[in-house]
Amino acid sequence: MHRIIAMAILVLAAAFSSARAEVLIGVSSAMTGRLAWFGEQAQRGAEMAVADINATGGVLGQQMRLITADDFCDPEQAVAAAQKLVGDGVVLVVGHYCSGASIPASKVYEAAGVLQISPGSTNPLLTEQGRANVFRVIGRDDTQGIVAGNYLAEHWSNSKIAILHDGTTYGKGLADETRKQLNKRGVVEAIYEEYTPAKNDYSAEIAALEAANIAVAYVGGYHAEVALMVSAARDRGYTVQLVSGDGMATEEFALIAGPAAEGTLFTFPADARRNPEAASVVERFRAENFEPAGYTLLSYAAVQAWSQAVDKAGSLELQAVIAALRGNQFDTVLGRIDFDNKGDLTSQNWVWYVWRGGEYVPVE
Amino acid sequence: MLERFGIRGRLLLAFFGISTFAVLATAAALYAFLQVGEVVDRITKDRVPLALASLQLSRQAERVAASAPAVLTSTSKAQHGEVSAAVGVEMTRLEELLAALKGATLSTAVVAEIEAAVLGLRRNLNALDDLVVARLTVVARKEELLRRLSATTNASQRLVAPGILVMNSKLQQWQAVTADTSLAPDRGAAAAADLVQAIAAYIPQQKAQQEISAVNDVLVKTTDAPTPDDLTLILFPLRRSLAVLDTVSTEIDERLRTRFQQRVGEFKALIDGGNSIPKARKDELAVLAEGEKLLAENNRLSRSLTAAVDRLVAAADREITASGLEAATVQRYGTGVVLGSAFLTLLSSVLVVWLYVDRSLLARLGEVSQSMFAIAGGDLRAPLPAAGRDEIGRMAEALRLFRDTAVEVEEKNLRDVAEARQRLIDAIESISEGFALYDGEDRLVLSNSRYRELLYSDLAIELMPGTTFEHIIRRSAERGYIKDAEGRLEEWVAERLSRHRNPGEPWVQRRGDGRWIMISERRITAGGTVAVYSDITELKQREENLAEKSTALEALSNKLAKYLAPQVYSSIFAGRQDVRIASQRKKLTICFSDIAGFTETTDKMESEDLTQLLNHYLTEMSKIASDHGATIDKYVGDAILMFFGDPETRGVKEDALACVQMALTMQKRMSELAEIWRDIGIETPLRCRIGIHTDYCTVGNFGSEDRMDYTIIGGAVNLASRLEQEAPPGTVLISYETFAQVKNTIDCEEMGHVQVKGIAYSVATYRVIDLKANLAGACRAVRTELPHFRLELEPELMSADERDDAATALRDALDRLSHKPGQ
Repeated sequence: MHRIIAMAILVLAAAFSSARAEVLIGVSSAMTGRLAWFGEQAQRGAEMAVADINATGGVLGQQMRLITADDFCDPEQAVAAAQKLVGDGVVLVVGHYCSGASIPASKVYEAAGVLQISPGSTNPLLTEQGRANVFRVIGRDDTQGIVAGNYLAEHWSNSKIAILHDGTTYGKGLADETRKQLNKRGVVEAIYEEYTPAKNDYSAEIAALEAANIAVAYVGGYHAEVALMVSAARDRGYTVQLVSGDGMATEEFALIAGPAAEGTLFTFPADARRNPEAASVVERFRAENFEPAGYTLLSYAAVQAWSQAVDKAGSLELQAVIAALRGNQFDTVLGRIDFDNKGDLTSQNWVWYVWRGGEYVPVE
Repeated sequence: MLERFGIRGRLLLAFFGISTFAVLATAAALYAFLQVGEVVDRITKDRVPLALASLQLSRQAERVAASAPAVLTSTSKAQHGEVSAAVGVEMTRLEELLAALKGATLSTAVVAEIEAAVLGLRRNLNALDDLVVARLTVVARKEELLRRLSATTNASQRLVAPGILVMNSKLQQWQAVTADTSLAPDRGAAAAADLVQAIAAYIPQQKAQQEISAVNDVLVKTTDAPTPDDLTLILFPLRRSLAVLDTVSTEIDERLRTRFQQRVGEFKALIDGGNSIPKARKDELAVLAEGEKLLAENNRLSRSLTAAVDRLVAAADREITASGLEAATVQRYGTGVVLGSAFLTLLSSVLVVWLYVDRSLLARLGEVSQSMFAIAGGDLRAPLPAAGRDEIGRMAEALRLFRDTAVEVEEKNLRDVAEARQRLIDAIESISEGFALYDGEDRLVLSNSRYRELLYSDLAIELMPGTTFEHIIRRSAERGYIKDAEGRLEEWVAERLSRHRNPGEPWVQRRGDGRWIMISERRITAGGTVAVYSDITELKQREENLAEKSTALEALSNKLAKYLAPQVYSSIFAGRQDVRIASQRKKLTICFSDIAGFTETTDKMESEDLTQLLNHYLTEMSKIASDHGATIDKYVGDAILMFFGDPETRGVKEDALACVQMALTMQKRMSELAEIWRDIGIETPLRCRIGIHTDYCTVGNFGSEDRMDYTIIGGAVNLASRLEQEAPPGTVLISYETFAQVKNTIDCEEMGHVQVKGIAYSVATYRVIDLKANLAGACRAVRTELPHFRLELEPELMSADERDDAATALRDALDRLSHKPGQ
């Protein structure tokens, strides 16, 4: 009898431990290609967060394991990556980075009942689709556009302003929001144009701006193209102020642009590296010879917010976690954050940064 | 010598002899069965389970051997756990079977061999299990290393990516510059030279990119390297690539240098050393090789186990065959012994029964029983078997004694019967009646002398016992002894026989000599008939005399009756009324009838004619009166006094009605009689007057003790007489009292009052017309009688022709009457 009970307990324990073995978390971003540096940020941030939380006992006493899927910032690959993660059985996806990837992928996650927290997708549409499983730890482009529009109107109302975008969900969305605000402020841009991303040379586009005597150009796009543009301008000896959005927050911008990077402006959420809550995390990243710039800490915070929500819900069940995410505040490396019912941050704060000496610093 | 034991002892001896043979046969059969059972037991208990266990063991070993490779092919820990557990269960079962076999088998050498093989198999499976765990670890390690390789590759590619992008950009610019013809050649050349220089600065990074890809590709291929030798070979290009990357790291942008060198270091670790991918693959290959070896060993062990078990099974099989043969032999012998014993038992039984039981017991018993049957059949002189000392001898002795006693008893019985017979004869001889006893077949058994004397004094009729009853009566009838049988002999004989066979009450027979004999016959229970004959001649003669006197008295009485009213007569003779002076008051209806002018009419008649006429008249009227139930009181000349209501009455009303109806009938008869009388010469028809009155009268016997008369007296009689005198001839006149009784039925006509002497008041009278019923549908006939004229006409009965004829006749008659004579 005792033997039978002992065996039953062993079997139960085995079943329990195998079920509780680990909680899978996915991170999906562009791990290769031009946006690979952003992918690295997302991955490093999530990795460190998972390692830190596992070190303190995991979520609900279970260890987490991170799986990475490369979406190449491509809408179709993003869906494939999402399906791979769902197939692996993840309960959370930290990602994607590009809005153009996050939006189609969110449909897959919703259908599979997987929570999605994006560290970098700013297009309003992501949380406007009415998908309850979608959250983000970054502000929306409608607020970022207002900040940018206002800034342009305030500083360059008497100059010729060009607004360029790369035609992507993120780039065009941000450019349009900025233009809208700018126009609202009574300033009309001289040029509004789309450029082709992923080219190696933008001399022609810069030449056109120069010809139009543009003093300031607002670019809705990613860092590599902007870097090539500032390089091209510098090569031509054409001084034009380039202003852009959060897609600039990587060291690679300076690596590509070289000295031309100096003075380029962009908006980004307040730099979490300066937060006291983030100090130890930042220190450890730097010890690994990795600068936790850009979205690294956002990614870290996404995992933090989720793990705290799971602990509060006491369950990994999606609806419980969603309710916990909506109903609580979370202490993260970004400070204390909370979400509205759409999954957006209730407090969205955009700060101006400028490239100086190969790194970006807040505008004084 | 054997006689000493008696029948019982000898029979017991015989049965014991037979039983002994039977017991011997049973014992032999039992022994044979036990032998067979032992052998079968040996087979079922030892050999068969052993063979079965061996077979199971062999199959189990094969199953283990077959399932072992599955352990090796499992790719995940969970799968391995499952397969390993399954194999473990199979193995445990195998060991259990072996343990069971060890307890059962006799061939220890083979078992030891099997045990060794099983142990080896267990050891081998454990080793295999450990190996698979090791392999899974190695595979996991390899996968982890591959992930690291991928991460390192990505990270290092990322590091060189900006440089390459810039280089590509410069390359495009250079192409543009060289293609741009608008630029001055020297400026163009200078710009191109600047761009080329700039591009050249990024060449190491491009090279690094290529080497990173190469290292990645080769390392990925390494994970599938088929042999350790391939691994050694692969290391060479890898090391060359590493050397290139080392060189590049010194030339790369200083901001990225440290990070790049870090990545190169990671590549180094993945290529060389204990935690390298080639090392992991090498370990895996070693594990796989070991696994193959273990599997081969496993198969070998399994085969040797199967072979050993096969030997064991073969041995068990051989033993089963041997045991089977042994069992068959024992069974054969057993069968022989059983059959032999059975035969001997049968033979001994036959011999004992035939030689001994039949000869010395049954034969003698047969003799005794024959003698017994002879004695029972009445042959008391039959020979008896000789006596002896055993039971049959004693039986013969007893039979002899029994026979002697039977002889004695028989003689005594004969004497008794003769005595009883004599007594019976004496008894029946002493009675005065004749007695005869016939048996069931009607033969005379016994008769006394009085019987002969009474019936057959003539000696010619034989009355010997045995003579049939029919013979006796036929002879006596032929001789005329029987009065009844005269002229109808056969008929009488048949009657007499029938009566004899079904006797009833005693009856009387008249004999030819005038005597009367009463014969009383009775069937007796034994089936015969007893007949007793008594002479009753005297009795009979007295009876005849009495009958004669009685007839004379009756004739006398009939004569007397004519002088009395029938009612009075019958009531006196029936004893209902005493003949004594007594009277009573009763309401009667009194009727007087008289012939009008009788004296005048009959005056000139001769006395004889008158008597005849009067008697005729009175007879006719009396008959009608009797028919209607009237009591005729008296005749006074031509007048008749009658009354209703005594001695029998139907009730006042009915009496009155009957009286009136009678009167009507009398009048009708009178008119019919008139015609008869006219024919015999009485010219003037006699016409009757009738008066009727109903009232209380005194009725009874009046007169002296010597002579009395049954009559009525009272005023009512006078009133009736007065009514009669008042009635017109041919009519009936009734008083009101009578009318009151009959008015519903009879149609009457009131006639006025009459005074009656002695009655103070006048009496209302009514003439009777007819019954109302008759009047209703009566066909009134026309009847007229005048001197020389008589008319009787019944028109309703006439046909049309008859009416015409009658009318013609009447008219003719009218014509004749209207003509004066002589005219």
